[in-house]
Amino acid sequence: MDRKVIIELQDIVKQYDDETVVVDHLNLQIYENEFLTLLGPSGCGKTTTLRMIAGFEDPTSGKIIFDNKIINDIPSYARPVNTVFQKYSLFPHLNVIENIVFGLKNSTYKSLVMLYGEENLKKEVLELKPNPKGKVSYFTMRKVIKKHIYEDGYRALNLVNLKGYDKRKIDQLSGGQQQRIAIARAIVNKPRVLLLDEPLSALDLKLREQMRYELKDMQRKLGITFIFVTHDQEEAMTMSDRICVMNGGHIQQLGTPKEIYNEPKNRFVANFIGESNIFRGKYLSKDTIGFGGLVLNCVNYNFNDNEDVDIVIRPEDFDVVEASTSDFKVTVTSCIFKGVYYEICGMFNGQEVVIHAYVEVEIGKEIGLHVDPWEISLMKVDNHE
Amino acid sequence: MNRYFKKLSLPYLVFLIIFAILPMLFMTVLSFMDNEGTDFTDAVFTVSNFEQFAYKSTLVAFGNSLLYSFVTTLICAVLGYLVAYKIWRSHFKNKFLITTLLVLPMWSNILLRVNALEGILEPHNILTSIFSKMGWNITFPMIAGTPFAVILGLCATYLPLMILTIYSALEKVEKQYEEASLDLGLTPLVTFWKVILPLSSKGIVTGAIMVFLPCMSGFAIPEILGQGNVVLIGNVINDAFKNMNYNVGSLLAIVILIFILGAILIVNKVDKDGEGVI
Repeated sequence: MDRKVIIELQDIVKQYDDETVVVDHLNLQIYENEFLTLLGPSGCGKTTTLRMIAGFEDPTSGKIIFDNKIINDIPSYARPVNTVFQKYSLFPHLNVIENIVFGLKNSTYKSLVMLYGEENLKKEVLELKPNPKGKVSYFTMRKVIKKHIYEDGYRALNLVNLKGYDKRKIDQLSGGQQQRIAIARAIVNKPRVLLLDEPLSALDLKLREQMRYELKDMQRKLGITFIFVTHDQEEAMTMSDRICVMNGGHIQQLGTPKEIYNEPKNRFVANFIGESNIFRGKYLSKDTIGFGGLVLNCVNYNFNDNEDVDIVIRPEDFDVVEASTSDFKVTVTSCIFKGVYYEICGMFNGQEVVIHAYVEVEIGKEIGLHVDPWEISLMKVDNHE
Repeated sequence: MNRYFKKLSLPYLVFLIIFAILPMLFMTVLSFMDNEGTDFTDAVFTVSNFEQFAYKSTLVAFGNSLLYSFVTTLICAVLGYLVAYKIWRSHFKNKFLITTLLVLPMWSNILLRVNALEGILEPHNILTSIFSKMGWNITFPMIAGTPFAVILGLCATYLPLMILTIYSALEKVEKQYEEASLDLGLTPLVTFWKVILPLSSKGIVTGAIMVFLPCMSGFAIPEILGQGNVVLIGNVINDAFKNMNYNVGSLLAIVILIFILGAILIVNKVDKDGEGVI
């Protein structure tokens, strides 16, 4: 798929005065109309990366390229991006609708005329105040522009499903409503890219789950690029077209949610995204791996024969079978009912194994496990760890 | 819990009643009486004290008070905002120290400071004596006794109050609002007018009250720096009390009090409904 790159980060380094490196030689291409999530634990540099794109932080070195233009030196107010902040940052001295139209209302006359089209505006002015010579007064022009601005504001308010809240004060809104207003305030300016800095983290679980779908829906409707920062892997999985997993200022893995979940590149990604069991083993020969005295089949991985590999098996990929029918034998140490499934912990070769199964098993009993070859993913052993 | 706290405020309540409420009530009664000093033997109730408001001198003093207080408040607000803003913006580690330095003049006696200022504004001041030692004979224009000197004295005295209140209001303006404004495309200058100034306006209002009140009722500064040329209502009240005319003095003081209360009520009302009070 050939897609247009809208933002490119080239070799970005961000180092603070005390010499801590927050972002370390980051290279990233962000496509038009995609939902990209920067995912990682706190302190991994994801928010700093976002803030550099927004223009609130200057990179120590490297280039931020927007639409083939380097924008490092362009101040934040002149960048064609808008941000939804973690704490929403709605202006407490303005009501809802004034918050939403704040950006448009305070932009220059020239840019507003450009935004709404000079010809269209002139036509409307002449309809309002017919003038035989076709003269257009500045004040009527302003009036028409103001009408457009508020129309846009109310449209954005409808888009976030808060019709009728226009005159409310900010402190009269719930967290979820403030969240939506913050989004409306950002998208009303028609940015090419919307930056979202952990916007759902302050909401309760139910609302958070609902907002995920709404955000994804909104992104599809608006057809603009969303760059979303979060530490919540489930959030990232649900919404993103691509996920960029970060840790220690580096990109650990970049790919679709499926790729990242099914084929984690290293231990960090495997552990951070969902639960996983990681075994150190050997790639014996093509499609055969061995660990802990077991020999299993796998597919689609190519390593050198007898090379050390990390073997990842997700808890839900195990099938529990009779101990006598499998070589993969585990002694059960706990079995907890989790609603849809049982979380079974067992010991295999002195290593704990987590299994999600639909059957209850007795603690202390030995059970057998079965894994399909395509459920096994392999990772190169990272010697730096 | 609540009861304990009530008890804690008791000492001040007693203090307030004895030294503020009762005297005020007494002054109100005095306003409607005619008697000689503290001698109540021939005291009669009357409204004749209100004749004071028919005298031009009272009205002029009253007008002067309003005018001088207003001008001082305005100058203090502008200068105070600039200083407070600069401190807020600066990267000083210890901003508390800076604000303490600003209040430092207030640690010395106000009369001392005003008298010192008056000395400087005389034609022959400390500089002339220093210069004359060096062989230069320079005299300065006479500034003391002019309206300018009074305004200067009022501003110099009350400016720190304004700076402090505005600074503490600015401290509460979170940087996130500024970032949000910049993000929405407003230049730093427009961001100041549209976001930072409205959000810190409460500090200006509080500061204005704190400057306006003492300007309105004070008498030492206009007396020393005005040298009798500038008479404010505070001086009229002071003279009345000095001449043992407690009835007229009380009446004027109560009227000033009502004015001030009214001003505070109006400001509070505006501050509650409106967002930007300026």
